[in-house]
Amino acid sequence: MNGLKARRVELSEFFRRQFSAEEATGYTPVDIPVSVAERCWHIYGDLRLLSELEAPPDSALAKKLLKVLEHYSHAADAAAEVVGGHLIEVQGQRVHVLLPDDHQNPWRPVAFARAFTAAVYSKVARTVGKHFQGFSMACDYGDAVLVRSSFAGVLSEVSLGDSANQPAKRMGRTPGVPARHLSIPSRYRIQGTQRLVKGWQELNLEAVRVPVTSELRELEAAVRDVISDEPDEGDIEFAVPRFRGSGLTYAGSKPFQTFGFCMRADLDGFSARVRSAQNSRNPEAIAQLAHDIHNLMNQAEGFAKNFGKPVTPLPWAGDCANLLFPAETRMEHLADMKVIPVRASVEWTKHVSQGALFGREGGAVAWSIGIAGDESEPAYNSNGNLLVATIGSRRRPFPVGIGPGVKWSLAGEQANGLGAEETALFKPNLQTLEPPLRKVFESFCDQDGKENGNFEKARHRDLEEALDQHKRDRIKEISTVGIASEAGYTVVKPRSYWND
Amino acid sequence: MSSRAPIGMIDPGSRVLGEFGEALSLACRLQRAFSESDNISLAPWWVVVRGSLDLAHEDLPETGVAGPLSVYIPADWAINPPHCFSEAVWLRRDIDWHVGADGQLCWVLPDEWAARNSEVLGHGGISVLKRYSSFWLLRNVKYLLTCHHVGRELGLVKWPASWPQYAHFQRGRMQFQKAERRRRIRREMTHSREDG
Repeated sequence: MNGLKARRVELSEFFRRQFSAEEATGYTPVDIPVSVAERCWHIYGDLRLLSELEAPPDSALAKKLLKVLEHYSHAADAAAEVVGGHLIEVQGQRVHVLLPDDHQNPWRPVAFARAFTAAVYSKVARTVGKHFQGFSMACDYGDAVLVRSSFAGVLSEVSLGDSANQPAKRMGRTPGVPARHLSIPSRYRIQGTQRLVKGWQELNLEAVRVPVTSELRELEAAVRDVISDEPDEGDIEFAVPRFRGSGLTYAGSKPFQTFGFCMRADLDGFSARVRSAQNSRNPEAIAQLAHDIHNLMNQAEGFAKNFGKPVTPLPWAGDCANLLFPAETRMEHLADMKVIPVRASVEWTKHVSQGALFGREGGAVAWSIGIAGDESEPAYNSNGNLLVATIGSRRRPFPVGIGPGVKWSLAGEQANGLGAEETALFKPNLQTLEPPLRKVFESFCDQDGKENGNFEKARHRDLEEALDQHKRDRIKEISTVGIASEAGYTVVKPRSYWND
Repeated sequence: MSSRAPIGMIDPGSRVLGEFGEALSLACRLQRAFSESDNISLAPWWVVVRGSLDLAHEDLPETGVAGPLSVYIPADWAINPPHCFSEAVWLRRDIDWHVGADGQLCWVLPDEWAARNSEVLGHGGISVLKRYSSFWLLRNVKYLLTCHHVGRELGLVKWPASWPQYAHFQRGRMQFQKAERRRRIRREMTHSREDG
């Protein structure tokens, strides 16, 4: 127990150090804060909502969703803190909690999940009301590398390692984790397992019998008692988004609704490098890993600043970048959807170079990208298809993007059958793409030969060629605008001029 | 385009609507082309029309968007081109993209505007000129806004070399004068061939 306490103190120190630095405006690390979170449980939770609330069509529902997410993230933060853990990620409806445990006791995450799930069902579900669709969790144990870095001024807590990302992958896989269940790797033998899914076992948290020990009882009671019954009081006020012509635009203190699409870019193959660095137990290899991630984030910031239209950065999820491409009006958004998703993918792979990571131990890595905007064309009176907000936990604000684009871009990036150097585009958004770009995409199948009904994919090289050709054609189209005739007279070719 | 005040400046106190009659009439014609528009207003030296201009035009590439536009029409608009401003967020406020820091669009070379308009006025009269000038203004403004929108869509940093433009400042005027001299010579040669 002393060892565990010592680790808790050590981790708390690490977090405290970084969070105090973050309180300054922006966060520009001079030394890249990196730590190896040894012997921790990584516990993920997914809150499921009716799609009407996931992509709120009006301000009233958007406010309700924000209240729900505040309540939910506060609950996760409080629950983690009371058992000596940390809430390290809030990605919309998904939370990621780190729970130190020197003894790799699988009953600890089970007890935590059971108490937290019960609290979500009895307290958070009340805030959600009729839109509540259940809650499920997944966890794994091991060491992870934690890198704290700033992506375009947005603090990112990058947790690298199998133990940190396998539960997230499990959550995204089909069949999903059933409601009120915890998915835990099969190597932990737990009584009460109902079904096994490719190396994972699903525990029904209502039926599972947690051993009666004072430590576990205390843990459950602490989690149960610390979660508040109600969300914080106070009305939510929306900001009116005014984007600059280009560059970065942030989730501020006030949420805003806008139009746009979401891109998720995952560093495919990076896990092998992380594994290799972790296994080596070499501090230099870990530091190099942190340095590479930090470099990538710098390049990503350059990409966002120079993209030529507004880009809203969200925190990275592990080695996966999240970006929103907002548009001020519905009309602009629809115009954007003709080319911008392809340009985003092509320019990301060009400018956020994985070159720095090639040729080193662990082998080559490349980007897999998922892009999505709307499920259908937004209505004329729509406030937008994206909700951008900062969800506050007690210690750290988490900028989040909510909407169908965010949900489906994640599904695209994690689609079975999508490989390295490929982009998956949500099918409803293919229809709005310029025809020469659209034809590069093709349907694809998962390992079992089943065709993906929601996405089509394209290789990055093909996308780049198609985009280059489209650029040439579009530029030519404008250069050939000629003379016209009006009222029987010739109107000269448009030819702009500047004089001070 | 010049941002200097128009020649026909009027003291607001002694302003007579008559002097702005044709400007008002041109404003009404422009307003009809806007997809959404505010009321036409009178400022000290201008008739102002504001609204949202759909960029669609028969001979321009499709963008599917509209841009906010304010047109300031001087009393002597026939020789001094109206000043156009846009606050579109996708506008690149860069003189190399023919837009000033205040969103002013440099959509025409003033000498060219004055030269062509005097020809049309001389042959067709004021009502034909209003039709001609409003078409020209709208087409050029839509063209410039389209260039910006396409530039943003494609992520262009520099104005492409193949897109027509005059050089900045005096060099642009000299380019026009040179082209104008050539045009005059060509026309005179055509006339003399016809006479001969």
